Amino acid sequence: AMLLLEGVALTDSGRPVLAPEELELRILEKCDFEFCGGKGGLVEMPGDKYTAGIAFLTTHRLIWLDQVTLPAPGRSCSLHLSRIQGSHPVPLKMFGSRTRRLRLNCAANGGGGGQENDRPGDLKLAFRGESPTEFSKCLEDAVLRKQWNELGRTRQEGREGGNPSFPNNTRGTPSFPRGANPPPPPSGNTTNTHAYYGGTNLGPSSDQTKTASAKKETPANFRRAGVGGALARQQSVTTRNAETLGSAFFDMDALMQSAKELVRLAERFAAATRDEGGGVGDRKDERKTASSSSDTSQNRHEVREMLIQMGIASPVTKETSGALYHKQLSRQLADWLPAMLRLEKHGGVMTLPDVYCLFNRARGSEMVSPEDVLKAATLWGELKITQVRFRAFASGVRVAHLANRGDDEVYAALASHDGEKMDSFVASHVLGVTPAVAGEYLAMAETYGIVARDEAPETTWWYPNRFPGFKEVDVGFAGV
Amino acid sequence: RRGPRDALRPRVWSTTMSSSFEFPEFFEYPPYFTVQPNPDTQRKQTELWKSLILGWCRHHREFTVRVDDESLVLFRNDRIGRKLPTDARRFFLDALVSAGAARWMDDGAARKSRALIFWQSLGVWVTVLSDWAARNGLEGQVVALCEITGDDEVGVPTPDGFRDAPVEFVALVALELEKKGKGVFVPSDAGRDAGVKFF
Repeated sequence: AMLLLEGVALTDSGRPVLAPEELELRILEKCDFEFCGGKGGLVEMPGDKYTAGIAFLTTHRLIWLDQVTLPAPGRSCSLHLSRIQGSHPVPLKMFGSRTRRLRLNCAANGGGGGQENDRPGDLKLAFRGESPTEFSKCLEDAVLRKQWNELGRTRQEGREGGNPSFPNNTRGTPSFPRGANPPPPPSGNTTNTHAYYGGTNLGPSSDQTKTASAKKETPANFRRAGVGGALARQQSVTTRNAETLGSAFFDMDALMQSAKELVRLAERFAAATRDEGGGVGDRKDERKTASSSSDTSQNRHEVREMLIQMGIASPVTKETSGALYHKQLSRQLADWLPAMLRLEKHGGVMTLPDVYCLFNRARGSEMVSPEDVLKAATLWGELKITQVRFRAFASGVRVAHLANRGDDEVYAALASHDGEKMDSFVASHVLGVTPAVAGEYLAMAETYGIVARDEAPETTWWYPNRFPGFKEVDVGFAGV
Repeated sequence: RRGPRDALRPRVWSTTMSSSFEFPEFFEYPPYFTVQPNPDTQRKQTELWKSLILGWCRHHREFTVRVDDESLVLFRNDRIGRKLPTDARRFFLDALVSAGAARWMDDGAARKSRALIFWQSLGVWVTVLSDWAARNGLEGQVVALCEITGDDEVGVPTPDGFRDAPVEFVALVALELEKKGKGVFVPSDAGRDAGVKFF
């Protein structure tokens, strides 16, 4: 029996491409997938285990990223959370390995022989890095929450005339209060249950939720005694507190839900206007608007600009990625930045302070500090990011620029400039960048002998370097 | 320094002297008046300045260049509103000195305000002088420096280019002549001016 997993699409920088509804919840480094009872993984590359990867948990899937091959996919694969029937930690034996493991019960979906002891199709996560407590909890919650059924649930609620402001999901980030987990399914509270749970099969009935949480608790209590039992009891107290706090933040959840709707709407509109010829599926009215409008391209351009600045729905935060924060931030920055740089007003180059401002504007909340942006940009080389580059000029000015915006283009543009002289303002028009960046390029062009400087009282002018072509005054004797 | 009798002594030097100096095209190029940071560009710029200084001095038969002389048209182009800053003048004159075509005439070399320009190489000057001495049968004699520059009323025409030259300049040529073993420099003494004894 084999546990076959699906592949996962990656962005240019090696982050998984998320579905529109999908949000990232937790990321953990140094995680192995151990396939019990046989092989597992991608159908073209099955193995006993996939080691040294990043466990990337979203509201819909558990993704394993092959860290060695990033940003190329390698063996990166994903397991939809609906396939997980249960999960529990593997107890550490007295003199055994100290590696914490979490066993996920899944259904095998591949042929082949297997061993006797392990249930076929099970998956063990081995955590060789940070403590997996948070991650495991998040995973269990995500499996129970079934957020992938969310959309269907919303529509049904609308038709039933239920309260539309009831939040039926909690965003992965930001969570409330800071650091706490999204509230677990409330046990025994019939009236609110359907608000928390997406999925028609887990409707208003409370006994199913009770069973679910009980199922979660019983094996733990059953297996552990003494100190373990005391810890488990303390755990349930913490859980109840989180629940209380969660209900206190009910309204804020509603607010965020509406904001999420707006972003979703804007994204759909953008997708429709982005299409050249036909519309997207059943967006008939939007298609009509797009084609009948006389200044479609203008609108499209504006919407595109707005969206880029609005556009990050699932920001990387220290919560979701822990120790990996800067690496994930670096990847997200590299995914978002190229579209920004291609806008005409930036001309393919931006100083780092500009990147910091615009990136934070796009994120909205969960802002990052300037040091974070600097660190993220510095990591691009290490993470083998190809579409953007980070560099510092001799004067100390730091910029990010598109990889294909080579320096040679810049020098050619400067050398072939039509007018005689220019300063950094003229050059900024010629190159399509800000004057500060243009000044840096001029200074660099000088080191390559492309331009020569003229220190005038009012400013420094730059001329195409004509020195090589000049002939010396004939003095009548050589050797001087 | 030419007196009333000068009309009888034709200048044998270049006749282009009377016409104004024709400045080269790079004199109209504003970056020419800023010392270029790029080493390759600077090298070329230095060559251009050296050639300009020598060419201009040769045309005007100017032996001395004063760094602080603002009236010197050599270092300024009023048409484009640029002039070479003082430290840049020292920089390019230093290059001429390194090439052996000039010498600082201050007491301490640190001052560097007055430069003597050899708009011919020193070796050529020595040859001119010794040839002149040979042509006029002056071997074995001591010729006063002022005779060489034409200050003195001697019947012999002055050697090419030496007319009205600064005395320090002739002394340097004389010293160089001595180094080459073609004569001896006789320093000035009480009652007698400096001179050269040709072999």
